[in-house]
Amino acid sequence: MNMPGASYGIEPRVCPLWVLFKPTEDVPGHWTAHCLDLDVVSIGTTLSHAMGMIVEAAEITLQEDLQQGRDPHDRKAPGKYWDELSRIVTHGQRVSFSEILSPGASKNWKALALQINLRLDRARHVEGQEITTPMMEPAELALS
Amino acid sequence: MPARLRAIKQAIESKAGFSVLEPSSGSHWKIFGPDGKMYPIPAYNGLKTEIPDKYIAGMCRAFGLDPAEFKKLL
Repeated sequence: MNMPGASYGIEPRVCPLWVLFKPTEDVPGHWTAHCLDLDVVSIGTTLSHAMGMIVEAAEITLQEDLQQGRDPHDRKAPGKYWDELSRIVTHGQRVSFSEILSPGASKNWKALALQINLRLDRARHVEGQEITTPMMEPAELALS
Repeated sequence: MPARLRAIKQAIESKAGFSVLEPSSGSHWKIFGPDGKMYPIPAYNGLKTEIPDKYIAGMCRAFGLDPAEFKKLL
């Protein structure tokens, strides 16, 4: 007899995503977050809020694409945004994740490039039903 | 110019085949295009959420819409 939950196996997958954060030009006091790998944009009232928002937006997008059988890689942002990211990563100053989240640290920053690892824990049911549970892990940081 | 989520929702829903779904949890709503493709929209302040130009540009890219034409609907 199958016990509830006994037939689930966990298959972890890591999805690295580059995100570009900038102070929002047309909504003062806010930060815009642009996930270049998925070409998804979100906004937050602070930098840390924008981080939470873009992670949620990326999770929703990945879940929806996987459920619909779409390839999320088809969404990539245009080259000009990748060029901007490349400039920041090459010439920017590296900072720690704790520094990013410390109050007031982002006051004079013009942009922040952050690579996050969205972990997709895929629980596969014996009948083929899948549940994805993404989780964020900060990976690499840079700022201009 | 930024726009309120309310205005974007109305503009999107006026286009054939598009729909906006308000999920029961989370801070994003979902926009679905005619082919079922989804694009999330920030909604942490409900319909009053201010949506920047950069978002509108990204959403239009995702659905192959002309940003200038879309902004006329706002």
